[in-house]
Amino acid sequence: MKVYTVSTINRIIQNIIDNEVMFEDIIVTGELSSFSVTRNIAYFTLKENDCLLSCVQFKSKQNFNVGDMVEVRGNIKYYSKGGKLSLNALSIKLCGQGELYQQFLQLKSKLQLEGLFDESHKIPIPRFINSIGVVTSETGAVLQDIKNVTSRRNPNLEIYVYDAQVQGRTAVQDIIQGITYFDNLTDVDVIIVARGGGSLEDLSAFNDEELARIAYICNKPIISAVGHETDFSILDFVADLRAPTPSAAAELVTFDCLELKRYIKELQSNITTNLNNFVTDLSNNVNMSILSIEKDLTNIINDESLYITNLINSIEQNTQTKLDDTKYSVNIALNTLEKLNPIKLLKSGYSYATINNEPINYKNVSVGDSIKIISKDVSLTAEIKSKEKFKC
Amino acid sequence: MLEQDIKRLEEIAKIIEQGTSLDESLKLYEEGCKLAKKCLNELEKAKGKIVMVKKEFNKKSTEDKDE
Repeated sequence: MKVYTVSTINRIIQNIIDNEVMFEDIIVTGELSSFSVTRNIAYFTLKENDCLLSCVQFKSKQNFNVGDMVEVRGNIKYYSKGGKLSLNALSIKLCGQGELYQQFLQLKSKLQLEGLFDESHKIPIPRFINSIGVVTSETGAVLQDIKNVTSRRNPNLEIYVYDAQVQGRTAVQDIIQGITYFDNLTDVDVIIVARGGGSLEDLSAFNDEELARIAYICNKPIISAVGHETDFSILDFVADLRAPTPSAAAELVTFDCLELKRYIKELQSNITTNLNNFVTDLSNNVNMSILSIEKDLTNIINDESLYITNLINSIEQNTQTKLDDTKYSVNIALNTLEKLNPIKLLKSGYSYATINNEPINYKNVSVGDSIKIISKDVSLTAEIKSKEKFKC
Repeated sequence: MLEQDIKRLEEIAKIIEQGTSLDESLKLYEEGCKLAKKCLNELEKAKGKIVMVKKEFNKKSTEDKDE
């Protein structure tokens, strides 16, 4: 048994595959089951029943959709680094489509990459217009279809017609001139390029690159109304609006007078509703303000009342305290007085002597004077028999 | 004026709190009671006025709505 490292075995596989003549310049057909482009490299997978084949294309310029049946021409390569085998595509072609369709697809993807189909470049179709410029064959039924629709919906719409061949050698230049003519005609608001249905060959004028570029730089909105609903042309993608049929284009540019009336009514009703809401909001605001003022005012009054009540309570309390204090002082004085009450002294056995209603002292009394003596239960008059100094 | 009355009331409270003669205290107390009653009456009147104005306002609003 042989033992290999990964790098060795991968290199061996690579050698075998790279040198296998069967894998050089082959065409593989299959259905695209995935397709993505990153930095100009397309990575995709071909599928048939439950078999898959990884493919890669460098410098890819085409875009395909999943589900497309394709023919891929290239070489089988083995990438030893990733251990992956893939078909290195040199070209990819849609299967079962003619050369014209291939050209159509190529031009479409080229113009798309250049940004000619960008939504941001498209001019909106005005809602109310006065006139349209129709680029079409004057003898075709298409023009009559358009006139029928517009006269029914808005008889006032003016229709200018630029007679153009819509098929054949001069068709492209006719249509280009028609678009340019209306682009410069002040009276025309919207341009309609119209034609009935037909094969891809019949519609080829509308897949012209120069026409696409003229339509792109046109300053007025262009509605493309080429073929039936299922037909698509390059002009459809460049135009500001694609109408499925010429009659539909006519419907798109004409406003129905009845619809206009409805629209005006709707606006009127909106105005009324908005105004009513506005007034309601305002009156709600006023009510809220009144309520808030009322609350504040009531709070102020309650606070003031409480303050006054507190003040008067404090005044009352302090006055009461004052009163109590005074009463206390009076009681103290009363007590003191009580203690000093002379009657009490007499009761306990003392006597009180006066001369001429004055307390007696050494100076105001002499031997022989009459003095008055009051005792517990008797009042006496006495005569002084002797006098001596006394100190207490 | 309510504000002046309250100011006087505050003055009375301060004098009594800081201490004065009983006579003076009683006199001030009487004055204070009269003032407080007057103030509270005025505040009650103010409350009544709010109720009255509110009634008038509500009446006016419903009249406007009826129109």
